[in-house]
Amino acid sequence: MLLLPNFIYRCVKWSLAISTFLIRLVPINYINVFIFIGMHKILKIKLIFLFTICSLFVKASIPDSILLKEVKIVEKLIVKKKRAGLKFQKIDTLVLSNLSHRSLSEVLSENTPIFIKTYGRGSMATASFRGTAPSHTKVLWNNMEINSPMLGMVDFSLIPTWFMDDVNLSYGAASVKKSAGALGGSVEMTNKADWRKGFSLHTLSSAGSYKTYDQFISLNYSNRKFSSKTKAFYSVSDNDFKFFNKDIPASVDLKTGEISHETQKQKNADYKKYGFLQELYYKLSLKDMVSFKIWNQYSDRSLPQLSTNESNDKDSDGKLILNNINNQLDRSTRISSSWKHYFNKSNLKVDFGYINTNLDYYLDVKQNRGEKKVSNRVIDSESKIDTYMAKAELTGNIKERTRYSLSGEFSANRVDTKESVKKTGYKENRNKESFVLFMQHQWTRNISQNITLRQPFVDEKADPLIYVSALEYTAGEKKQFKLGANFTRNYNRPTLNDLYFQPGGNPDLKPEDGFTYEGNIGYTVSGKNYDLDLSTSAYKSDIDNWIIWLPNDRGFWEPFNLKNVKVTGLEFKAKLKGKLFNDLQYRLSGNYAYTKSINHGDGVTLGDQSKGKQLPFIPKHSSNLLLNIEYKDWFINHNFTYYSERFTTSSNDRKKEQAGRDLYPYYMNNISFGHRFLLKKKCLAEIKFRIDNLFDEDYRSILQRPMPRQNYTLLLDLKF
Amino acid sequence: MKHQNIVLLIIVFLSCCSCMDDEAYMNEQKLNKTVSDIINEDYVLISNEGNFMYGNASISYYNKTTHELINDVFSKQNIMPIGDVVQSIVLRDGLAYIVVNNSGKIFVINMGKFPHLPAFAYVGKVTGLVSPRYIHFINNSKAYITDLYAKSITIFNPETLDKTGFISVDNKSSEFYQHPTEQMVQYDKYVFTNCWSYDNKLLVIDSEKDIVVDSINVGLQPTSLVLDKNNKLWTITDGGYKGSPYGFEAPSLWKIDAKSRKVEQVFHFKEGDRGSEVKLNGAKDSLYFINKGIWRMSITDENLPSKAFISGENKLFYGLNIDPVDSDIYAIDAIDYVQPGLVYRISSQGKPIDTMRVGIIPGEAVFSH
Repeated sequence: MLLLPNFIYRCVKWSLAISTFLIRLVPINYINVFIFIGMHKILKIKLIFLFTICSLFVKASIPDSILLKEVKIVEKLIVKKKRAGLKFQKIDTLVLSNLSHRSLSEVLSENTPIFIKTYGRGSMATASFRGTAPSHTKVLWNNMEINSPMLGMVDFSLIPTWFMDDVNLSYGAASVKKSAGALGGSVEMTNKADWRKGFSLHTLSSAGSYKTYDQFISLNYSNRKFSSKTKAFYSVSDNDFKFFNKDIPASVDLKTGEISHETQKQKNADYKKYGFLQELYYKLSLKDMVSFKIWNQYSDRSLPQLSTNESNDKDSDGKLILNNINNQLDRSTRISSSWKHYFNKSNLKVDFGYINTNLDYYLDVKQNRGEKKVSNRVIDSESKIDTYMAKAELTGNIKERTRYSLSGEFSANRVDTKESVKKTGYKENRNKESFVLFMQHQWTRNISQNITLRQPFVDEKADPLIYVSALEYTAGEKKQFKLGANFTRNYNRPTLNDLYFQPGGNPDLKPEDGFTYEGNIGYTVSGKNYDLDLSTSAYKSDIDNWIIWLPNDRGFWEPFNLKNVKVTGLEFKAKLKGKLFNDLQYRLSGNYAYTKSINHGDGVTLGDQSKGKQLPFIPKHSSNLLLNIEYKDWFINHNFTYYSERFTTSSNDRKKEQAGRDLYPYYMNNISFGHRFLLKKKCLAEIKFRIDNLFDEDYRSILQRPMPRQNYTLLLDLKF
Repeated sequence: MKHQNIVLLIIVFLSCCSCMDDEAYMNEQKLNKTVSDIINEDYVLISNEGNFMYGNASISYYNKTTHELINDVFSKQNIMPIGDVVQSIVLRDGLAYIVVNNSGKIFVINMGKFPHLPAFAYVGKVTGLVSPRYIHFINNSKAYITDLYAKSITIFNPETLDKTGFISVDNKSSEFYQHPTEQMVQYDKYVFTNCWSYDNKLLVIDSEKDIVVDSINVGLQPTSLVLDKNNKLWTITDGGYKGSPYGFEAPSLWKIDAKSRKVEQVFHFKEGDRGSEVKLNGAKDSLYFINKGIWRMSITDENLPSKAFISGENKLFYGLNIDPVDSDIYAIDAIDYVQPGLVYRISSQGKPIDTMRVGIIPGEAVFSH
């Protein structure tokens, strides 16, 4: 009835599935899991068969880390599920749940080597992955790229962590299988079904400084065949923190020349965001599952003035008239649906997706002119972006030692943007197709190799082939050493704004062309009371035709393929978890990244001093550290983030030299602690207190954008 | 167990040693220039716009005789940034009036009026402006401030630094955002201003009544304005950009009689040329402008010169000023706009004299005499 290897494989999977299920119900440790596996090996075939089928559908929810154990148990040459020789990082569920009330920007900046450039609390946050530009980080939600085809980037401050079940990072070459043009890497977010039967409810409420209130809710229902999850959130903040403004003079004593400054409240930084996510999963048959997800979100933000701004006027009663009022409205609907079918030795996944994004921005100027107040709209822009996506992927094995995946993708972008004051704008379409082949082969017990080939077409024209080749070698009794190496050629198309923006867009821009080498070493060791995971990577990227926007002598900006950027980097990651006494558990994880992102392009003019210099806003050193300690029902988390100085000029001027400015090193500490308890035996409650900016730093991370001092959040988490 | 304790200690150490010094972000080397150091010197102030929304504008001081260059004089003296986008500077009666465009303000600094205070010391401000561009003094107690977005010219009293009135320049008949007023020159009691962005007019303002009394049509987007010794107005247009809803044409240079307000001559450039920054020498009889390179012609020439006076090769000229005393040329190269730019000082014979590396996006040079 069943072939022997397949049988063993499924047998293990079944055991794991059951144990995964049990882990969710009762916190049992890994030793129990192994006992469990041992026990069930002696069960009868009949039962096994029944559970095997069930396990098919639990497959999606088996965490990767447990799958690795699977390899440990079965001493047979079976090709790995995980792509070899490439670098991935799964964000710890502990981290996601600890920051579930924040945006993904904080998750990334506090726990990964990705540098997040944020314009302030609640403001736009863009990513620089391995020293690259924001458009070189591709972001996928359930297999669908959500980068704006107009701007190229993703604003991570608009992604609620609450909505994501899994967040994975694919570094450099690892991104190629799922997306093109991620010269830095990709961030993949997924939603998963929760097959626990019946209803469950999870709420999270928070209240914080500066009149910040958040409410999160998640309602789950599942039966044998059907599962539904509804999530929603509402966040609002006045965000009117106080800061001592050293950047404007409050008064001056003309006798002594002494200038005084004042404390002021941040104005026009308020925000309101809300959204919902509906997920539906249905098992059509034993071999088919369909799912549907819709994510709808609204965000209304104002962008605060710079600290040097003094354009605000006063009316005749001395009341402040705010000037330069701007507002950014982001509305988006994202739909992802998929069908997965299991064949005997392969499976087919078909995805359809749709994204609609509306981005509206306006700028109003106001002035008191004696009797009347005058208001004029200076910028009034509206953008509508539609993306349609379809994808089919066949994954399977050719014998035990070779795994393959074959996929075809299609996406169509429609951008309609207009600015009503200057009457500019454009309407453009872009269609993209890609065909991807991935093959992985297990040569020996220790050596595996894979290749990825991606052939993109843009508006029916073929782009150069994107490819990855990777090799992995494992060593040690328990395969505790892992060595990986890969190289890749990647290719990033200009955004539609780069090509068509009015004024300045340049339809003749060439794509950015990157070549990267990478080497990885991993080491895992487990002791009696601890598990230690160490990994380090080194890479070198060479990116040609790097696009930058420069102002011209006619008062607007134009994009050019100006730079050749060479990035050399080193990443180090360590994770230690263990028990100190009987009841005290700790987890410690840290990242350090060294990123030398150097411009090698010829200068624009004779006096250009940017050659050989670090790109602006990319720190050479960055690191973060997370310590989590749990004692019985009490816990404490401490997070530390560090970035070295960031230059704001292409010539890397420091404040002491020319009139350039640099941003001093950034050190940030956040802490949270709390208590878990059972409420009326039915509800698992958690009360938590978080202190941001623990040491009450007076700082900025962008020029002339003050940041809040020490601030607090009180959270209540209830699980029914 | 031992190694774990060590790790914990490291964390504690890292957390405690972290501290950001926001004061250090300003230049700590305080400047000590007294008024007597500069009052009898021939100097040039260079306004460096800085990047829009970065707030990294600055002022450079250059001594013409000793070639001493000090960058960032405002923040070195006052330990605070000057603001976002310095558009222009006017030197008058021992004070410098600095227009900080995207900070909606004018800063006034000491250039000798207050002998007991250091040079460059901040002494006052005009605030509550929308998008100020240039200042023109009518007299000691009245000055105009043009504005890109306010649709009005602000009147202020330089003695008190109070805003005293507004001249509306709101053009309700246009579908475009008009009028955006720029540079000003005065003939008799009439102040002329060019309207650059999405506009094609010179407005004529009666400085006694503070109202717009007339307008002169020129080509698309006049960038700058001067008045020569024969009372002829000169403006150079950039012609807009390709695909602009307002239109696109080749740049042109216009000669207009200030008295009759009649256009006397139009010089047309080729398509693809870039016209900007029309300037005069000290005698106001030679005209300079940027069209990639730097061009020079006499105010009486009938035709455009056949080749540039200073080649623009390997340079990106962004600003241009002519010393009114010796007619030295201060040609400004903003390079890639995200690094400190260069000012080339060139004699009126075209000989290089000096090169100064100043601040980010140097815009204009103003002269002490």
